[in-house]
Amino acid sequence: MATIDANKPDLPAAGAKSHPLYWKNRGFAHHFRNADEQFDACKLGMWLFLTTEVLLFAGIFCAYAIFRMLYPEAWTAGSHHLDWRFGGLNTIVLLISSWTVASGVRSAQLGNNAALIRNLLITLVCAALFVFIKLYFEYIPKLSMGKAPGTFFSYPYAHDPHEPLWWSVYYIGTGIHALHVFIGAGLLTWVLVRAIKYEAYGPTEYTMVETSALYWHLVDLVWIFLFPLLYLIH
Amino acid sequence: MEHSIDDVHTPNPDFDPTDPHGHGHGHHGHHIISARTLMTILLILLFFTVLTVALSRGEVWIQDTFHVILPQWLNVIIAMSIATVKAVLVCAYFMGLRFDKALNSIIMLICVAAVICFLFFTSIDLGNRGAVSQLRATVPTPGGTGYGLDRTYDGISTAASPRISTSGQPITEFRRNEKLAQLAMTEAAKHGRTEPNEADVAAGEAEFWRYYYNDYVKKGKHPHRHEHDEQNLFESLGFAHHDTNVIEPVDRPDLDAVSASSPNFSYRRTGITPHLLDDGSSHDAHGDAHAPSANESHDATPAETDPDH
Amino acid sequence: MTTVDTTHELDHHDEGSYLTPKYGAMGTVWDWMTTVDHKKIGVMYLFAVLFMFFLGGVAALAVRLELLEPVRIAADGSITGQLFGGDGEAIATGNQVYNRLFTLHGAIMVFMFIVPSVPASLGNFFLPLMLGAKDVAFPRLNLFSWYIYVSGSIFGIASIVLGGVDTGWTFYTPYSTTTDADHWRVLLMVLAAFVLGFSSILTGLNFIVTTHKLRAPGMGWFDMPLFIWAIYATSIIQVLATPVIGITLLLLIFERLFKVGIFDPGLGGDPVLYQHFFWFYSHPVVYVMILPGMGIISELLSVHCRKQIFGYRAIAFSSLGIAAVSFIVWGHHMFTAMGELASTIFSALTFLVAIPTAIKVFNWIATLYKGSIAINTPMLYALSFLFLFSIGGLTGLPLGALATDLHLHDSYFVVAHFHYVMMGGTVIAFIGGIHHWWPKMFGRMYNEKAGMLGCVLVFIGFNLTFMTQFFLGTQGMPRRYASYVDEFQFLHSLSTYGSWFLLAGFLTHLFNFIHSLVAGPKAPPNPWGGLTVEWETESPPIEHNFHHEVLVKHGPYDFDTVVPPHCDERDFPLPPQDQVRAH
Ligand code: HEM
Ligand SMILES: [Cu+2]
Repeated sequence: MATIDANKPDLPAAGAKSHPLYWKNRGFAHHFRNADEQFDACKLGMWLFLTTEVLLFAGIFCAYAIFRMLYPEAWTAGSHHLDWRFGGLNTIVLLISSWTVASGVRSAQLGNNAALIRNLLITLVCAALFVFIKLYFEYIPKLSMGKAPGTFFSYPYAHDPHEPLWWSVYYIGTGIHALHVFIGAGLLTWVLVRAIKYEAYGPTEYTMVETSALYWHLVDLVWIFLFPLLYLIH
Repeated sequence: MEHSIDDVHTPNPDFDPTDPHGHGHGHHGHHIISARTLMTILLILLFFTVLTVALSRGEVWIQDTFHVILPQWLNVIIAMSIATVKAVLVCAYFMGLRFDKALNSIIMLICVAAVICFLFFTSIDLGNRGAVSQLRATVPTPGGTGYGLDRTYDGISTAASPRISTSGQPITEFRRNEKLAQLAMTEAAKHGRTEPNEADVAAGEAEFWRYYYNDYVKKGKHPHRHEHDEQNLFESLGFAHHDTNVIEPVDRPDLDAVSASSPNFSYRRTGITPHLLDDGSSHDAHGDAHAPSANESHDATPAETDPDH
Repeated sequence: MTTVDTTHELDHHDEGSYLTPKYGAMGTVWDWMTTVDHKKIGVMYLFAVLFMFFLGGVAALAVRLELLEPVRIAADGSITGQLFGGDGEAIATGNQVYNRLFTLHGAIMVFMFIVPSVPASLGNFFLPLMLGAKDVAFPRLNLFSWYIYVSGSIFGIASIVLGGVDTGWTFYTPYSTTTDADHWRVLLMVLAAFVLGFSSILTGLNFIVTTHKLRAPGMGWFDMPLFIWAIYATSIIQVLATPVIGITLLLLIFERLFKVGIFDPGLGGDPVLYQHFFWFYSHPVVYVMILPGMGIISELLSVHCRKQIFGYRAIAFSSLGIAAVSFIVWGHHMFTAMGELASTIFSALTFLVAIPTAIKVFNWIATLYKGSIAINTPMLYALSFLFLFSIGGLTGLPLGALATDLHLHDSYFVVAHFHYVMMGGTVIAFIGGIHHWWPKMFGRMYNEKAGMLGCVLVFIGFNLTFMTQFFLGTQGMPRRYASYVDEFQFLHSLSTYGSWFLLAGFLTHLFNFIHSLVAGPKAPPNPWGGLTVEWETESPPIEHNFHHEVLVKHGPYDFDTVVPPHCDERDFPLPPQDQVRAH
């Protein structure tokens, strides 16, 4: 029977280095010719997956573009409710996290597990910071003032009749982005746990680090476009 | 034979002379990007972030100082160019595309091409409705008619969202009126009345605009008199000196329309396609503020609506 | 002449067929449920999509039955009158039932049957086999995508069991945001489509990586069977287009739950924007439906007329060409709603699609020329495909032309058009493909006579059912109505009788397949004398596909120069070598 996971921990439990998940003990699946090919395949798969993510966000960007074209004043007025300082801060937070995660891949490639763990931890802290800023300084105050999407909109001082639509696009765009932050952070946490527990990643085995990092960079990429489009209109 | 997909296979180095993938074996030479490069890229990215913010603030400053309105496409082009440069840097270095198999880059490019097709053709439609026949124009009822927000089906509301009935008003207007009514009631209650009289309504309105101007004009969000501030509380409440962006009523028929926007209709459309939804009747060459009311038919020709034409 | 390099033996000698049960009844079930073997997953998909085809088919028969008579009047005691009841109120209810029926027919057929049909079943089974690989690149992902498919289908069926949805398979706003308010059925159905999209994405992703990374040694891009090219092009579309339906349906869910207004003119949004979003996915997806069918046809034609396929590269590249062009023509579904500029551009672009499509058809016909055409079920199906698909494709052109489409839009002409391409194209190719690969998949031969009888019934039934609809459409019969004026009754009733022929044809196939599984003669490894790699292994294939590492030494269609593996030259003689054209 073809089993789902071949890495049964049947080796003697004498510390991390004998664990089958320890990077030196890892093999590759039998339908690949060699580990390199498997690595390339996984990476190719991840890139293909990223294209699907990009196209998912394309829908939101499309709605944004159409309504900005149709209702430019609403977009300007709506954007004035956003504080570019929080948006900018979050951009910086994400850029730094992107850098640490790229450094994390480098640490794994060099076999420096401590640095990998450190980098992943910083990345996760950044992710938490991002979500915190988003929620505490942006979503919560705005929602409590009635700047809400669609029919939830109850802010009496609107300047343009299409502001509810602006808030719809704003919340959907940033909300789905935030969802991706959570998913990415989840992936990185999983990598972190395995790095701590088993020293699972090293020069010949860092596929998971690389692919999760790619995912995290995508989160950053989307924000790179969302930030000026949402915060810097005037 | 039991096999699992994770079976460890020792690669056989001299197998497979006709390997179609053209890469030999045993070369685990994945590119490791130097820490210095990563750091440099981060700094460049941070620099571009600051730059895009600065340019955007700069545009605001230019508008306020020189009393001009910059077209939106300028803002879009600057912001998007910088964002694209940043994205390319992230892809090339952080994501390692530069040192990777070309295939991955090609995939990304195809993806971008698909996104561009999507945005491009959709905006061609939405941006050009009614270019030939007004029949196909999107009817410009700003904020919508509010119709359907309280639509029911078999007596049950059609959405899980708040069941509001805006009696045909756009939702923003509905909320404003709600607030004005509430403020008038508060004023009335202060004087022990149960029904607000005219003075209460006026006081409520003043309260409303005071809050609005405090929140907007003082914070530099919107240094104008609000279109709906019909009694010009903007001046009487003493905010007029904030208005640095007074638009001269001469020579700019399009901007005249801005100040003349009716509660339900505004003409300032400096988007990608200026005057997108204008019909002939909105161009009033004499600067004489003329805004069609909501019920006015939009497919009327200029000659029909404007005898001076 | 062997195509297998025996020097690199793997230890799969004594391995049994992948179908051999191993661990007792429960163990076998568990084995199948947790299998990462692409063959088992492919077979599970095959049965699942055929089951969905059955469900959707029942709905279709009911729709046709309803249309047998112009109006339902219970008083006159007609059969159809009884189906939906008659008097005043009951007619209104009957209309609602009708709306639900065609919606569930469309939704099941599109999302649960035809999109996954060929790629997920035959593709899953044969893509690795034809590449000479041991499995797809990500076997676990493959299993995962199967379970996503199952859960999506369960959502969809739950929505139907709870009372059905009446939006049409396209979920156009505002129908989909306003009707059925007190129920969550629309949401459930939309969620089903959303979830099924994920399954489709993961399958496509898996196939692309497999094609890139796991081709057997010796198999360059232009040594791949054309079926693989078609599946590859399909997968590209799946990966690029499906996420857009994801976000579209997500926005629809938000719209329905929270009235965010993006598609609601009441808040300044635009319902036609929904159609843009929807068709940006759904037009490319009609090529997800047809491309694998085209791939099957390339295999069937060349194998069953024992001739090198004509214009290999042209067919291969036209698959990619179709995939590319499919992304810029979606507007032809909205000619009546869009602005003029966009309509004109989209109309012009739509004609582009015809080019690669026609290239394929001409090449197939050229392949038949002077081939030794075997008259068997797969060949009959391939010929039916050529005939029916050509009609379907050609009637797409008047639909793509602005002036004519304004009249034909939303009429039975459109219904007939897309049934000719989807059913006359994809379904016909699918059934032909099942017959072609049945011996390989299950190790049993089917009864050729019964197969051919089924094919003839399907062919007659199909034309009777849908040819009439072209005439109905041009005469002004709109789609999606339960009743019509009396003048249309003759054609409508012919159409309904045709659907019974179709039923008879499919039942013939069903019994034939069951009979084959139970009592069919054992299949040889290569009954048709095919040259693609899957015929080199046993029927049914062993667990790890091949006894030896595959080394490909000839092209997939070199019938002129190669004796097929496991075959005798007496059964599959080579043409006199001095007459062999240089290719
Ligand atoms: C030669 C290429 C084709 C052309 C030029 C073409 C053109 C069109 C046009 C213009 C329409 C819109 C008609 C209307 O609603 O007014 C249409 C509808 C449709 N086509 Fe095609 N088509 C082609 C091939 C295909 C193929 C290969 C398939 C699927 C396998 C397909 C499936 C459909 C479907 C499902 C619809 C109707 C969808 C609906 O409204 O429910 N078409 N086609
Ligand atoms: Cu189409």
